Amino acid sequence: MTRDEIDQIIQEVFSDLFDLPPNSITSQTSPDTLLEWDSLAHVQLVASFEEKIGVTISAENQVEMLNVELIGDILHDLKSQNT
Amino acid sequence: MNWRDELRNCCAGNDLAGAQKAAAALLENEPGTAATVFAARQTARLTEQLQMPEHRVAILSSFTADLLEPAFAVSEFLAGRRLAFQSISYGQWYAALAEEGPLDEFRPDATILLLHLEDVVPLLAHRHLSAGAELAGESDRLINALGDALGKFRERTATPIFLSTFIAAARGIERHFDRRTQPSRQGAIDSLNARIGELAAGNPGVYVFDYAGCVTDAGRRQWFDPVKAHHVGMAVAAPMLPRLAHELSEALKALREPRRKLVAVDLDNTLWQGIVGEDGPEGIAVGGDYPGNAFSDFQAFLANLRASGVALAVVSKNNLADAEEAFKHHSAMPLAWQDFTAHRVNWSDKSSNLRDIAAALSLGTDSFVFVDDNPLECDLVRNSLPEVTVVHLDGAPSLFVEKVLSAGGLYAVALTEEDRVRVDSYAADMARTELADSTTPEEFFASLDLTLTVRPPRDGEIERIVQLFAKTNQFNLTTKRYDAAAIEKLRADPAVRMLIARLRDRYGDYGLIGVAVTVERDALTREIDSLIFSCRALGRRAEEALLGEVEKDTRADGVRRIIGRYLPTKKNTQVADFYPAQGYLVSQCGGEGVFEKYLDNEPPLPAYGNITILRGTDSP
Repeated sequence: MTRDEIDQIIQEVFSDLFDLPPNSITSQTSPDTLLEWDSLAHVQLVASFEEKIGVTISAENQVEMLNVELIGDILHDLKSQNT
Repeated sequence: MNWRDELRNCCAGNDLAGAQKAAAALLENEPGTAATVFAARQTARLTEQLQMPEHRVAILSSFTADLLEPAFAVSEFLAGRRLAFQSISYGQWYAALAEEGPLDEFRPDATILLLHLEDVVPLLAHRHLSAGAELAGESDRLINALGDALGKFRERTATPIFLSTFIAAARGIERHFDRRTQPSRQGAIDSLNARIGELAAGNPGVYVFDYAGCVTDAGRRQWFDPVKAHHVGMAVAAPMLPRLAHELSEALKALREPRRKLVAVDLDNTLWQGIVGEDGPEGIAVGGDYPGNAFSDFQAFLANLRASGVALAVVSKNNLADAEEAFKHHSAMPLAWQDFTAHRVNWSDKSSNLRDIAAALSLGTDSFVFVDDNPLECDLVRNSLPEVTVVHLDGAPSLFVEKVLSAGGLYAVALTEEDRVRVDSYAADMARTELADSTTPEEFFASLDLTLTVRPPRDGEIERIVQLFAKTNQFNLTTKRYDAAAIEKLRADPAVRMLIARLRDRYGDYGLIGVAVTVERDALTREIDSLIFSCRALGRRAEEALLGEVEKDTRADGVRRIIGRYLPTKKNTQVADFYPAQGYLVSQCGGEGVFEKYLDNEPPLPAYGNITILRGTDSP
């Protein structure tokens, strides 16, 4: 899975979970800029990425997912380790 | 097809059926958290736009069930309901039940208690071998707390509540010796679950959600994610939430909606493999090796279904003699010819046969499930009788049971004595119908030897009374839906009098088939709050006799005037003129649908010639 494909999935998940138009988040979108990104939403984000990308995200990684760019980095790393 | 766009468009266009189809398709193609949250949001807009009534459900859990909401909203939407959800989490379940607070403010239509062993009996869950003497006390305290909380909840509200069974504990070091050792962990959980069952059985309006069975079906390792449980308190793994939601919705449906009453099955390639008319009785496969074993398991399921109160019928295009011969030849198979309440083995079209059975049993075809392996027959029934639930049995016979169950409408949350004997009573109904066809109505009623018992209800009859209030649509003058706790309140109210009616005749017992509730308005007036009569027992003038007994009692109290009310619904038009027909006049000041009768001026209704009436409180 390429970084672009992963970024596309991230866009789709944010769009589903937060009711946003497609491709409306940026690499710097974070809980500080997106009000609805609370702890419950974070759990839903993690679950969605695990389901769609086929990785297991550790507790430590979950805590590091502080913005969209970091999410992309972590998911990309996990997926490359996987394959 | 982009099901997201389809769902968005259907919701924007207020197309409920289209949105249900699109949401189901989206989640079938792309099961998962993101699509579930998307579907929940879209459908919430639609149900609000359509102003669908809210079905208010509270989940009291020993963990946090907040994450369940989107999946639950979707499963309720697919079942045709708009969910209003309240989640009360962690240790608050006891206080929510025992004390007035957020649960009361929420006013739930149903409440579901989901407890995890780890949260409420941690010694048993984690260290039963090292806990020592405290272990037994822990389980006792939990059951006592539950009983106590339920009692206090019942003092405030009548709403139904589901307890749930405990999931087996994660297997630890004890796994290979647990069952032969004391204390046994799984043994203690079995015992907890048995006590949960007893609590429910002893309390009207308390049911059991089989959480343990639900998790067993899915698999314990799928159900829990130990890392996320510790880290973010996610007690149920996200991919399992739709499954939990679906099972909860099925239980709520069983609670709310009338159960199907009859399953009509085809014979060839449905009850056995092969075509008896071509292969002969020895050429069809049932029992023995595959595929016969799959068909005999399906038959065993149907036999059990029958024992739970759902009648069976054969509707098959065959020669009658061939069909009978198949049952004779395979006498060891689970179903016998006489287990079917009706047999329509002929070459007429199946929808006519279904209508015919409905008429013979005085049932509506909307209470029928039709099961056939032939897609054409299924389509024909779907087209001419859209109210019938049609199950097309294609594919592996080993999956037939699941197909019939998931078609819906067969589950029940309680099984009453009436349910258990219902199917046998249908045979008596058929005998009565035959007799009625061969004589005049007067002779028919006279020959039935009807005996009507009218008396206050007994404790063991409350479940059945609740059932009658919930399910009687036709002969129901005011269509009030009292649940168990409301019934208890009425019984305790000195201004209220409740009478039940039981009916039997020479062919059998109809059971408890009628209820009358009257309320004192003033010293000289009583009002009939509710008058309901099961449609199975109608047409024998026993309903008139019940009203006559109500009037007799009222007059005996010195009350001069009795008021009857008819509140029209879509289904009770047949009783619009019931009170006028019984000598009631339109009330001068009561408004539409209010009737009254002055008991001074008129004698109470005459005794019904051929009905013996028993009034003793100890009458059967």
